[in-house]
Amino acid sequence: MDLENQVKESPLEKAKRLKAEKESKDQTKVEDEAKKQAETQANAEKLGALNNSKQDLENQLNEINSKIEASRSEAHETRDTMKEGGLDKDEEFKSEYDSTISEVAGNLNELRNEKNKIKAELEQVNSNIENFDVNEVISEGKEATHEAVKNVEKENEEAIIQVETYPGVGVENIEVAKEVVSETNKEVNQVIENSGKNISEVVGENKETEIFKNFDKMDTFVKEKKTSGDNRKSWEIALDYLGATQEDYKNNPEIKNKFDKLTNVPYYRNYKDSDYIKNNYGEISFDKFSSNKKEIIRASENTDFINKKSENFDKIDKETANIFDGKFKLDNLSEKDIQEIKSNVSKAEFNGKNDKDKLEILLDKGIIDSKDVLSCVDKYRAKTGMTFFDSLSRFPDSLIKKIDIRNSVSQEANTEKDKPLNTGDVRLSPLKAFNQIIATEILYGEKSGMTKEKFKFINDKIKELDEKNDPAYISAFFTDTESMKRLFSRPEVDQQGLKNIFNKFIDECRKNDGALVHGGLDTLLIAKKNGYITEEEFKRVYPEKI
Amino acid sequence: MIKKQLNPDKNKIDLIKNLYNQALNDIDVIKKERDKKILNILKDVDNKHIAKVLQDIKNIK
Repeated sequence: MDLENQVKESPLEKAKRLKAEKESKDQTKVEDEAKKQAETQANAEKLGALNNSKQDLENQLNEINSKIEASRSEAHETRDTMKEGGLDKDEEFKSEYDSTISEVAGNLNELRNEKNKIKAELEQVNSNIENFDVNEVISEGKEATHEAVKNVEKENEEAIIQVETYPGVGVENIEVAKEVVSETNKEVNQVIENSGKNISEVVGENKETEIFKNFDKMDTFVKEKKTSGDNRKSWEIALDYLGATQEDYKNNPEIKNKFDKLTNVPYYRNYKDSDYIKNNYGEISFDKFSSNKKEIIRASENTDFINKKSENFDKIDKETANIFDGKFKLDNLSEKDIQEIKSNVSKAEFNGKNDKDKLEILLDKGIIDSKDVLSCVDKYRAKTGMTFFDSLSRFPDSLIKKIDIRNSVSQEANTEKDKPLNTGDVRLSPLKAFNQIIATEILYGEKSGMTKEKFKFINDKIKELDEKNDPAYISAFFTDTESMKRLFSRPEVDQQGLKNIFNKFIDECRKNDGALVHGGLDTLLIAKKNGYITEEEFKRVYPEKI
Repeated sequence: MIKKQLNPDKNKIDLIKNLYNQALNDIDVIKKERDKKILNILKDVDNKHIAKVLQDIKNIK
């Protein structure tokens, strides 16, 4: 009500007006409350339906498990009965034996396929339950934006009609109004497209979290089984967790893929930038957004993290220099240990500190040949996508004492150094070569002869990056954090050129308002520690809080 | 040092809500901009009309 009318208003009129206002306000409050309750009720019903569906699928799964168990027993009994009768060896009955065996195997496979189907449905329902709140927010958001877009379209039409019917309007005015409306539509579509992309990036984290959670569940399952006296190997129990057998793993690519992915999650956690991981975890979002967000959260959680990161990079070279220490632990290993290590070496499954110590003893005693271990290193390298030198660090130090690895290293360096730059490969090839040269230098003490000429290829790449001036390539270059400290500290490297492209990298980071490409944080930390950027600059690029 | 407790789902929900709210706000700004431009077109029509009337009056005098 405008001021003029309020002045003229009598006390009774005012009382009536206030009463009406209060009633209207109360009514709105009641309606809002009712709407909220209806939404809560609807959500509870949806969640209830999902839980019922979960229960139903779990029952189906139990049922199918019993059927599989029964079918398996029957299959074994059928086979044993026929074998007892010698049908498998009798020419006359051999074909009958084979067809019966394949019939029971077929029945069993059918049941297993059915089981996999139910399990997949159950996983989907579980995921829907787990992400229920997120899904609801997305659904509400979509509805609200859809409404807003419809509203804009309706208003656009009205605006055109208003202009068209306005007294004295000319054709040119109508044309301008149509352009305005068309521009509005374009802008609104852009907003919707951008928000869709951003939301997909946020939701993309789901899959990552999901796969970690799945791994943790499997890990707990295996640990519990082991604690309760299960003597099987961990991978056998893990297969059991997936409801699969070794035969399934060999014959069913779907199961193999699932198992491999799940058991490789720890690798994913440590080496999420390797090509191997990217090829095998294609469905996980590697977007800038999610990884940056997490890195920033990680850093803001604990400032010690920053110092630890820098210390780690100091350690890398110290550990390399200490490789010749050769402190062998001589201990008595059982025959079982020896066989296990031998088998692991032949399958390149060797991993872990404990295995490393045992292998060291076998190598030292000459029970295992160093060439076999070297071939295991090669297989391991192919499996993980690590460089020769990096993968070597996972193996006993004495290996390097027994075999001159210079040839392998220089071969790798030579093939890697001339490869073109590729933004998709975070550990860029020229940098791999650079690292290999530094590594042999540290290992064999070949400090002489390391001239600028030897580093020409890396200086050429720096120049190429500077000329190319493409932020994507520059960012990719600076995400290879292991090389950064070495690059910054070597006088043979064109430091001015490096500084030029590093400044471009910093500019790129600033432009993105602190949103760094993955690994950028590590580079900045090293740069800060080496005096390339100040504390203030670091904070400007990398806000402590988000 | 006290570590900040983060609930990833809560963060994600807030983030999604913010993104949708941002989109709605952006649409609102675009709408206001459109209304302003349409109003200017109508004002332009009025101004031309007034100018013409004034011109006519002047001619009559």
